[in-house]
Amino acid sequence: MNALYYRPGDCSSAKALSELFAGKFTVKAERERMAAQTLFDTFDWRLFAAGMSLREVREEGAPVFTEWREEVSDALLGRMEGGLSRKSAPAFGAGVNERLSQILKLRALMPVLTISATWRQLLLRDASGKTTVKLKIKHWSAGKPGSRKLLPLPPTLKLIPLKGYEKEAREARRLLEEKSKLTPAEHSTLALAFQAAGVKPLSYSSKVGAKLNEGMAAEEALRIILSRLAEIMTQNEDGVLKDIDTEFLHDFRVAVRRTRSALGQMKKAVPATVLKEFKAGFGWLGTVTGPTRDLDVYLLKLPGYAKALDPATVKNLEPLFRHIEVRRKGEQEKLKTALLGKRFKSLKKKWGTALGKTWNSSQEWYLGRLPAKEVADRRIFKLYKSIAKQGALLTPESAPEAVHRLRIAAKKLRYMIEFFSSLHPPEKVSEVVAKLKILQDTLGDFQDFEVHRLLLYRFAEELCAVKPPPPPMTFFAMGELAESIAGRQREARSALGAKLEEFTSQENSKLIKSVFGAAGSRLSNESSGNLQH
Amino acid sequence: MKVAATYNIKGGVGKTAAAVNIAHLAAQSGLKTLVWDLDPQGAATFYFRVKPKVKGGGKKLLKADGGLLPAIKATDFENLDIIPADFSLRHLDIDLERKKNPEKRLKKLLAPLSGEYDLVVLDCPPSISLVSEAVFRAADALLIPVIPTTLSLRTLQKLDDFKKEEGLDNLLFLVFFSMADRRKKLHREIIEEVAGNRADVLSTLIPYASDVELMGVHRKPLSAFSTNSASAKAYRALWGEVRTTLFGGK
Repeated sequence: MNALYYRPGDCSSAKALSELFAGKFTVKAERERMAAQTLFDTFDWRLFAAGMSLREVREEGAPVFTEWREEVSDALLGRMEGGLSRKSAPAFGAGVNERLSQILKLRALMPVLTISATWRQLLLRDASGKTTVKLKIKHWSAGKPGSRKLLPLPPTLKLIPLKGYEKEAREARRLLEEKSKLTPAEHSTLALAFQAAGVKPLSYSSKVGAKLNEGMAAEEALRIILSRLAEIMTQNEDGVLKDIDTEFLHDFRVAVRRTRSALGQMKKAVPATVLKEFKAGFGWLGTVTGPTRDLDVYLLKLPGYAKALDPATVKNLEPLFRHIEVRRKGEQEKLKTALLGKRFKSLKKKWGTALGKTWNSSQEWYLGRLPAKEVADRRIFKLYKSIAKQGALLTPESAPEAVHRLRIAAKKLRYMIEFFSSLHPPEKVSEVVAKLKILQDTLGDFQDFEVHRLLLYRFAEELCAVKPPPPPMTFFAMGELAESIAGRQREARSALGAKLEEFTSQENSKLIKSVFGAAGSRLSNESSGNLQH
Repeated sequence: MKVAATYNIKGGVGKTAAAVNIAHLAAQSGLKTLVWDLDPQGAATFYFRVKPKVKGGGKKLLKADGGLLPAIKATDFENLDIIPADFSLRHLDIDLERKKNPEKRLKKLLAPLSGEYDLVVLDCPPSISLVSEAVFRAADALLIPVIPTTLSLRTLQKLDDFKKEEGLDNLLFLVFFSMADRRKKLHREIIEEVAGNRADVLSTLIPYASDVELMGVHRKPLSAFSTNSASAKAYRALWGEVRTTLFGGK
């Protein structure tokens, strides 16, 4: 039997409830407790999505503590003394921290709700004083974080059965429902609290998720996609400026990259003036946000790289780690200046204006009026064929640049499939994307290793110029690190052939042609020669 | 799931107090915890106010198909359950002997609980027997409370020998001094000698204190009624060391 929730209405006093159970149980009413709670979650609501809550609790007369709970069962998952630090992950202790970090991963916690609650437990005990059933009556109100005005919510009554005492729980339930005429309510207390406070959980997603329909023209579809990407950028902007966690900049840059890719891949559906201005604008935005992100990725990957080295070498690398952190701080300041500057403000404003009106260009060979599905499918199929061609030409001796170009092509393909996914059967799209992701992971690894290995040489030059420079052992250790990364890069490179073969296999080609190939060829026959991208 | 057993051949050294307090602290920290009271005296069961009764007795508990789940009772404390003692556990050795691979039986019985619990604490009777052998094979660590006396050192030596003879290389011994009185010269000397000669001695000392005895009056773990006493702080420190050893990290 799971815990049951009730809306007790008038039957919410401890006295009234105690009288219900007297005779069958010994009722012990615990003292009333009051607490102010702040609920925390990540920007993308990972805890809420997992059915959990994390609360900082300030109870009257007691030190602050933090609790992590499962929402429906109210099961305690972790407890620690003290509140949450804004700068570091919660420290619940070994055995619990790992479970929480599986959910939070790189995301920081932010306050999302303020709750003020008064509650009391009633313990229904047997003859030997053992608690066999618990009841919890709660009166509470909720509001936005930091808000003084909290809106009252209906009181709740929870009947908590205890393992091994199911018979007693059933009896308590019977008494409660028969005597007070209450019926179990659906448990949605947190959802109610968010609603009352005007907070919308799960309101953020980094997925494009553009809802397009079959008859839509390419231009309209493209403006919907680009608007959604602009929305993602806006949602992440504050987090980037405040440097809350690395994922804000990651999501921001992915939205920028996708915007540039959409403009590039669908350029015949974009007026030339729009294309020229905003290709340059978003190109600039990609450039100013790049260095900070590159250093973030490096710092995130370093612990993994360090695992392959012996501890003494890792210790000698500490001046390098500090140097990267200092550089990262400097790049973040430059990034902040750029995002607070006139050029970005102007870009946002003009982009908002451009997306807010129909383009309907009269320029020659404008494809904006053609069906979105057909224009997109043709492009997607062409991208796939290009990857197959590039892959066929790739040899073990090919330069890293060739692998890099392949990676870019794979990324463009992935973006296009995702932009227009609502126009295709979802299970087929998932299948294609899953196979593409396998290839992309290897291409991405190879590229990261290449970049990180080369960056080490730049860092070495920079460290030489530092006064005083780090000890020689640091440079030796960097050499070892470079070699270790090169080894991983070679592994990724040798795995690439098989991944490419798999992606460009006959079976996969058939699948991609079946989803994206047909319309593309039809469009090509109707307007041959006019659709060269 | 980790399994820790409080064990010593000698009685009255603080096994049950350690089992109950560590289990409570573990549960409070968010780890789903189960105490299995294997001592027919049922002291842990008494502390948690649970009836010392298992349907079918010790014999039924050992049945592989029955499983331990039906015997589990929630304590009054969140995240903390108990398989209560039953007086029939006085025959547990005999019941085990009738089973195939008796020394592996407890481990087999605990295995299905790994999805339910993070930590199982076995409160063992003071004896060296088939039950103890089964505990040694089921546990990841033995928490060995030792009163700092000369006789205790002999007990430790016997345990070391037994571990070696039985090839229990993966079993961790976590020795800690219990009912220790630093004012006594003998206690200080024994503590220094043992800690100096063994790598498996935890640094926390559990002091001799009356509030531990009050657990029997309150029928609660110490940290449920006396959070700031020296003993409560000592058990918290002990739990910290045990936690790091069993679960790693900080």
